[in-house]
Amino acid sequence: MTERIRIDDLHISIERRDDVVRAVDGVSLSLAGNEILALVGESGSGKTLTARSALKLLPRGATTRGAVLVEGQDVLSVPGDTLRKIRGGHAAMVFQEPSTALNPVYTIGWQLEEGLRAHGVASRAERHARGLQALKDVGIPEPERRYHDYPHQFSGGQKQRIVIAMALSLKPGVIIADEPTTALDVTVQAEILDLLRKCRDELGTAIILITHNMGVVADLADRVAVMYQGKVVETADVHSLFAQPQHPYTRRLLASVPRFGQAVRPQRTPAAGEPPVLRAEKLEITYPGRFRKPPFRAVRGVDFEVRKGEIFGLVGESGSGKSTIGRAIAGLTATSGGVLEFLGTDLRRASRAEVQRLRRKLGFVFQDPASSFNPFMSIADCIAEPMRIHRTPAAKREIDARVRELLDAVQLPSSFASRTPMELSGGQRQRVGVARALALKPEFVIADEPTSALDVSVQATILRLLGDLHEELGFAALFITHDLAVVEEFADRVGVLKQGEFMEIAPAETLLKEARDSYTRALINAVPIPDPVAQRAKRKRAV
Amino acid sequence: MLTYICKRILSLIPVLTVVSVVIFSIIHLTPGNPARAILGPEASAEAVAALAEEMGLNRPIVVQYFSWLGSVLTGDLGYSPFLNRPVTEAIAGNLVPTLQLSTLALLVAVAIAVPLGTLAARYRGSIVDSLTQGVTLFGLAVPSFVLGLLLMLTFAVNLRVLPVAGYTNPFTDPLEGLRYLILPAISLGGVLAAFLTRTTRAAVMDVLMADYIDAARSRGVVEGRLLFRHTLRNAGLPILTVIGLTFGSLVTGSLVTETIFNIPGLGTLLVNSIERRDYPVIQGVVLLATLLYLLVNLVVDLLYAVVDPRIRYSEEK
Repeated sequence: MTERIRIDDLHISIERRDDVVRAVDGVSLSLAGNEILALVGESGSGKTLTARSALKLLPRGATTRGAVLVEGQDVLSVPGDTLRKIRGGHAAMVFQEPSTALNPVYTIGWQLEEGLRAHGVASRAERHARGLQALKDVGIPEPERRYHDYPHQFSGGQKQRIVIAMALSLKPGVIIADEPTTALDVTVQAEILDLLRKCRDELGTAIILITHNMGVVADLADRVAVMYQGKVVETADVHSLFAQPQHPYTRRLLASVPRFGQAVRPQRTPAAGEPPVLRAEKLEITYPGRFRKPPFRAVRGVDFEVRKGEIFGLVGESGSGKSTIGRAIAGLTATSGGVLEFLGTDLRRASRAEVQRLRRKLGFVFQDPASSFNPFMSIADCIAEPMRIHRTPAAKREIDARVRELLDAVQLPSSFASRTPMELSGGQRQRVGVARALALKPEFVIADEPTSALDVSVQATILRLLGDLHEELGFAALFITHDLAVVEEFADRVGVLKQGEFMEIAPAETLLKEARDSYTRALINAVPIPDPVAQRAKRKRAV
Repeated sequence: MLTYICKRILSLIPVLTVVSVVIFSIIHLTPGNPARAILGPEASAEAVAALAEEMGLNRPIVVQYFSWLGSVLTGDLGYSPFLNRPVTEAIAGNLVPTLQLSTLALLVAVAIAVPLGTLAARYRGSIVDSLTQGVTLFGLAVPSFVLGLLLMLTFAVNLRVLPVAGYTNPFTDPLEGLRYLILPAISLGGVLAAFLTRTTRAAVMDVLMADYIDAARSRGVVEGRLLFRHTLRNAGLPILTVIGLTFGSLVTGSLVTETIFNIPGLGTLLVNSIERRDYPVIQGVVLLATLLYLLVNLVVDLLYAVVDPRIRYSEEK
């Protein structure tokens, strides 16, 4: 096999205002044709920079040492014109977020042809023909009709197909796929993974796959390189990596991956006979239309209840209405019909004062801890804010004591109280998010994708923390997520939402093992199992 | 698209109604009898009464408003007792130099700001960027009349390459006309250029960070094309917005610039009319300026749709 990419002792350091970060520290890797190499590691491990160096797409202030050979040419030292020919011609890239990887003001046809033009395809007719063919190859329906459409007229999955079509249009030997499915729903993810596999099988393309999702690794990769703090700590064939991880970090990483059907949960029996904490009956939430756009029915008459002390998991793909329901309970989105009863009071008919009083009993953990804190407030102020608003407790001394208690509960040192949110890591910030949600000793906590912005290992610790606090404090919770493995591990009962309606509500164990509804089954099937043997067997069965 | 344009034009009606009320009130906001104000303290009581009668000042104010509005809508802006001719005629005579001056000023501003702002953003932190930042700060700090006087002193008085002041219509004599207009246009456009350069720099810098720029780069697109085709069009929206909003400052700026450079434009006409309290002319000029401002912003809104397909398509749906 010929070597498509060889990285030799690559160092990348990034100069900041007052210091230099050694982001990649002596990485050596090689990749042959027909091979898919997965680069895994947590954020900041240097995996993206390493992969991007193959196209010399590095951030400002980056300095490099070492060599990155693409088809024998060192991209770090070749002159600009040669580099331009390598980019797109020998190596191409697929981005994480397809909606930002396409220029919004040009048609997809124009953008497809642009790469061809840059590589000397002079004939307009030929460019058009090749552009169309590329769209056909990646499975865009009716490519002739859609050729002159703009990116915003396509769905997320289609956009990612178009990005892949652009990457493939010049038949490069290498594709760098940077988290190509992270922004997509599981069912779409499965399709995109199939497409990437097809590139490898039919065109012999070598792929560097950057991902944090071990299920995706198990599904697609031939070889895996694990990165940690700028270094490759372990490289192995995918089967042996999962079977016998050598490096302690790899072992830790694999241990923190949530797996289907392996969740060991204490059985919680919700108190029977007691009134539910939350009850929704024929709940309707409609976003009003604007500028002649028709109104959008996000939630269509759902019935469910959350019992005392129970964790109710809400799963579904993007646009299914799961976050809308959570936001409506917290009063962040208006409801338009039905009943939404919280602690026996219908929030839709309650007075302002009553709603305000009930809000004390409710905590909210937001998805992205980076944007859910006011960056100018100290951690102590962030946690104390709900107590100050509701004047419970009223005395400043008591609030301070409670802040210390909460920091302790989420296992953060009390010295963090005076820091600002930006001085904390993502995981630490989300701990503060949990502390803030629990500040008023709520009876009900809404957690909206609380771990999806975090690394797997951090996700595991946050989930454990939430679980322990739940055990201890006994609040009921609505746990919103798109991750079925997480919901199995964490929730007592699960509701599967699709386009604003429940497909199925069942206890977590039975739902995931013996789902009755076909959509639920499709959803479960689409999740790649983080075990190469099982995942490949499953895929074979499906074919 | 056509229905969108029509709707946008219809939406101007309420704005213009409010504006017309304000403009109409100008005449009644000044203390005393407007007729007396026009004729001056020397005039006899009979003359004042006669003018008041002629101007309809004795009728109820609502009646006065609607009769004024009626004549405005039929294109009659009244009669100027000082100029001894209809206001429309007076404005028409002064409109052309002002339009030429503001258009040229806008062109000067865009011609300086867009390339400079783009380069400053592309080479962020470099000498080009620092110089640009310094020059634009200077441009923002210096009032346009000071800039005008400085330019006049340098190019007309000391170097004697351009005329000091005055006006020749570029449509009749292009070269000579431009020689007269270039200094006022630079002094008027300079401030706008400074503001626009900063906006362009910020907008381009934003777009340069976007994934699709890296994506295009990863396909081997040359840097120049990245900057001018991919980036500028996306940065176009904020730039257009600022152009539309600062058009108002061009209109007010032209008052001063025209006076300094002695250009027979609307600014000069307005300043003179204010000095002699020629209310019908003041009303006419202000109304026209408002209308121009609204129309320019209407054009900007329509250009949004040209630049950004997302706006175009959401309107068509």
